[in-house]
Amino acid sequence: MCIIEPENYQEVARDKAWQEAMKEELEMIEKNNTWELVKRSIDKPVIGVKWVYKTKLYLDGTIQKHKARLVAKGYAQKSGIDYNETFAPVARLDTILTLIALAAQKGWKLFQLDVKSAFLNGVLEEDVYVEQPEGFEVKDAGHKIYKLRKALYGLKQEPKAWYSEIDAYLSMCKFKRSTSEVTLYTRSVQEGNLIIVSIYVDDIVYTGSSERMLSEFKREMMQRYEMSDLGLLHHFLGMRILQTD
Amino acid sequence: MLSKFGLEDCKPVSIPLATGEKLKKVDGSEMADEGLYRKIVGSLLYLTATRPDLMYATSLLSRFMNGPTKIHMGAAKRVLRYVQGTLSYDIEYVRDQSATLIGFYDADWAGSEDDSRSTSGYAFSFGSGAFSWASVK
Repeated sequence: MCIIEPENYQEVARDKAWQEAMKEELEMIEKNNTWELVKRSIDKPVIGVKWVYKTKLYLDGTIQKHKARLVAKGYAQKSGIDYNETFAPVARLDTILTLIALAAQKGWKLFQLDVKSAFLNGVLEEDVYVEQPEGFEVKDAGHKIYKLRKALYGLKQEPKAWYSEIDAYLSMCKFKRSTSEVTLYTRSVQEGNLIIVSIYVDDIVYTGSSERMLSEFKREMMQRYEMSDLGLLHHFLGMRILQTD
Repeated sequence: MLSKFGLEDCKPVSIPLATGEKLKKVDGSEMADEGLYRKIVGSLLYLTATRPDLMYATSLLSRFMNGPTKIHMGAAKRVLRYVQGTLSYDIEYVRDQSATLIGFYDADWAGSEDDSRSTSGYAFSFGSGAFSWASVK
């Protein structure tokens, strides 16, 4: 079987499943407080947006989900005007393996969280304006544009914006960032109790000495971000991890 | 991965590289399929994330990504045959070992036939499985 994915809005304008998928994406954007409608003015560069459609399949080839993603045409952005820095650090493989070795040696369990639409959580430092998405123009405000508070997919600065966001949140939660590995954070509330967290873009691996502290950390994270709780760490970066007692 | 290279039924060997064989850039043999060679080395590089035993061989093979010869290709396929015999290998990290940090390091002192530069390697552990390793020329 071959699934043909739509290329543009015209092809799905009358398709119910895809309309639903686009609504879902916009709801996520609204829920995240991503943007606000503002008046257009000629001195602000406005970036176009585009719908990208993806059919997610189950392993047996049947359709799991229609996914519509709204992306900004980041290639039109100009350095120094629309964005400054674009990089986000990721954990080194050695760091992850060291964390696994340490947890095993101490008899700690490793857990994993996955941030849904991580990049949409990133707060922008620059002023960025985008057009309204095709098919979902606000009534009587077709000439208006959106001013972004948070990142959209496709923006040059989205990885950086997300990293800044999670970094700020972890510091607020009293985590200390490692000086030699900026994606590794530790927190020790009382003597002898330790929790270690590693950030790999939208994947979070964490371990620590007390189960109570670990579930408290999970609660803190799930309150702030849309998360999937993946439970015990079992797959990461193409590696399979098996934890036994 | 082995079936990707048509080697799912290949005969296993017990060590990844032939002992005493020195690979060099120009070895007099014919040129091999560069695309295929790169694919094999790329796949092996992926495996080195959890297989320190493939680290040296893979890093050695990766030096010949530009213009691999039939001899290089032979060596690469031999590594795949070694993989065939060691499919069940993984790293085990165990509890309650002494929490000593142990490091190993060695170099081959100008071992390269092409430019007389050295290759060095290291591995670190807390007493059980290694968690950090590399082989660098």
